[in-house]
Amino acid sequence: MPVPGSATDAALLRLVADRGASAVAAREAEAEFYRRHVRYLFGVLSRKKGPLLSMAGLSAEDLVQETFIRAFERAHTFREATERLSAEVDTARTRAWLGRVATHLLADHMNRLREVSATPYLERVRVDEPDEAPSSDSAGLALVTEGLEVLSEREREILRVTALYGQVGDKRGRLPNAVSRDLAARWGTTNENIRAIRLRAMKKLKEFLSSRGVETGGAS
Amino acid sequence: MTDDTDESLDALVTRSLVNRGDLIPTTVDEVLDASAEDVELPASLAGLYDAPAPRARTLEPGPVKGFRPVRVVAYAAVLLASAAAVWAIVVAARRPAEPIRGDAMVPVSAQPALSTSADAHAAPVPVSAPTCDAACCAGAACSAAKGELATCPTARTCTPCTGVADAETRYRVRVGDILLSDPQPALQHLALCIKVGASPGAEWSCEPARAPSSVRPHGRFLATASRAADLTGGVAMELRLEGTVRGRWWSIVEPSPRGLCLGYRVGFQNDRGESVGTLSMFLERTYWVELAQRVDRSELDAVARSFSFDGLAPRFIAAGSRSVLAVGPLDRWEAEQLLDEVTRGTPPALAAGFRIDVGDAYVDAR
Repeated sequence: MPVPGSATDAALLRLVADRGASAVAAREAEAEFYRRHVRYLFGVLSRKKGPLLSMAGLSAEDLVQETFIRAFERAHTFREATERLSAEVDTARTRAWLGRVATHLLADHMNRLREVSATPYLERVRVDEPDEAPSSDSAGLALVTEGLEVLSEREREILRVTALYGQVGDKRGRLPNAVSRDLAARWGTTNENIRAIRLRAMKKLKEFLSSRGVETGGAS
Repeated sequence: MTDDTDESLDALVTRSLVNRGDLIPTTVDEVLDASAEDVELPASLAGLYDAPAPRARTLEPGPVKGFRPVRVVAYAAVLLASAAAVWAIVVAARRPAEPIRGDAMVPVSAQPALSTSADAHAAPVPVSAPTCDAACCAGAACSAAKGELATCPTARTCTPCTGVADAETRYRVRVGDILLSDPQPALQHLALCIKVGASPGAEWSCEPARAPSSVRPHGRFLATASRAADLTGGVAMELRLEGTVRGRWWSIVEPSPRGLCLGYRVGFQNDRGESVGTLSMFLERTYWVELAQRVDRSELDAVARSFSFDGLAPRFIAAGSRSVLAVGPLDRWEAEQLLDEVTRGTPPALAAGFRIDVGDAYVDAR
């Protein structure tokens, strides 16, 4: 029996996980799930992710393919939402999960964990419920976005990479050694200086916000 | 660093970078703010999961089941390439050559040779796909090929019946995705190691067993082309998990028309003799006919206009500090036939750059 197009994402992933019961249904569920989300994922990965993908040695296409493979491998861990959600939010919930899988894969690749057996960042993906970011006020967000433009490309890239590792659960501002070394080589500086550059960038941002009347906590 | 920074500012920076498109949305709010649906999918992604699962053809009884979707694309590409090559050969045989175009950026046909270039030649030198003679045993262009040898998953269209195992003939080993007998999560992290040859100098080459083919869009190839003599000495494969061998396979692999056409089935067993997994292995074509080499890549465009390509697409490949204009990959006998034909009647100045190479130094040439 063909998989109905009206099946929820969670239902599709259940069929994928239950491949032993019906390989055909699992295959059709994969196809439907992929059809629903591949354009979104390729779209977000194609947009300005060049530097990160380059550091990871991947193309957007590579990461899309690998993300779906890994998502299907972990289909059994995906849970239906515990509360009733609108279709739009339900779809966003699935895509947030796919985004987390992709982000963790990116972190693993950047950390040169391609040749050994482990993919520790991927293993950290919480697949039951996507983490929610703390709510942020839109005015502050707009100012930070403006402030990022004040920074140099080098500073932005270092913030970008540290933020990515923040997304995958590393302590804010900490980078794996291999990643820090790659960044240092990329920008012709030392490992230690990467940390200093990030601190300077954050200080600049705070000063920018302060000049606009927004104070943030913490010393700089 | 955390001591010196404000966590809420970190969160704002992350969210801002997501909004800018620098990071991937990972929360519902971020996804709702992202609008990225209006993109055209590249061919490699379109319909990736729509194709029916292919049935691998093997030398040993029983097919290898369920290649992963990325492999489906690879096979589809191979079959399409095969069909295109057959079509090109058929067309070439029926009417005078109407040169096809190669890479979009390279006008290779219907354009006069550059009279100002040292490489220029009055009439374009034809570079045509090798023909298939009667002493063939496999491939779609081989009229004598029957049954499962009539079309080859390796995209070969014409494999001779003899000479394929000559000691110095080279092939490039390609492996398909592994299908584990018991896909426990831990086994997802296996490394696949391959060693060709029995000599003491033979080295293991390892990479993740489950690395998607997307990492190498044209399949996973050994970096170095292997001599038939070394293949005959034996090919060993191991599945390793954190240094421990979880499954192994070894066999003498003597190239044959059947093996070159269909590939080989590799069955891994653990120390208790239990099946651990299977994969397919192929001996792929690895010879290139180089038409010219230049330090400056742009100079090759002019050289390319000295040729008319028929049934073969010219490739511009980085090889160390130089760029190469070449056609391939081909089997040895095809490369030798082509080199012979293309050299005949070509002015010495132009023919001086002709040579055959196995492409070990070529970048992204698979």
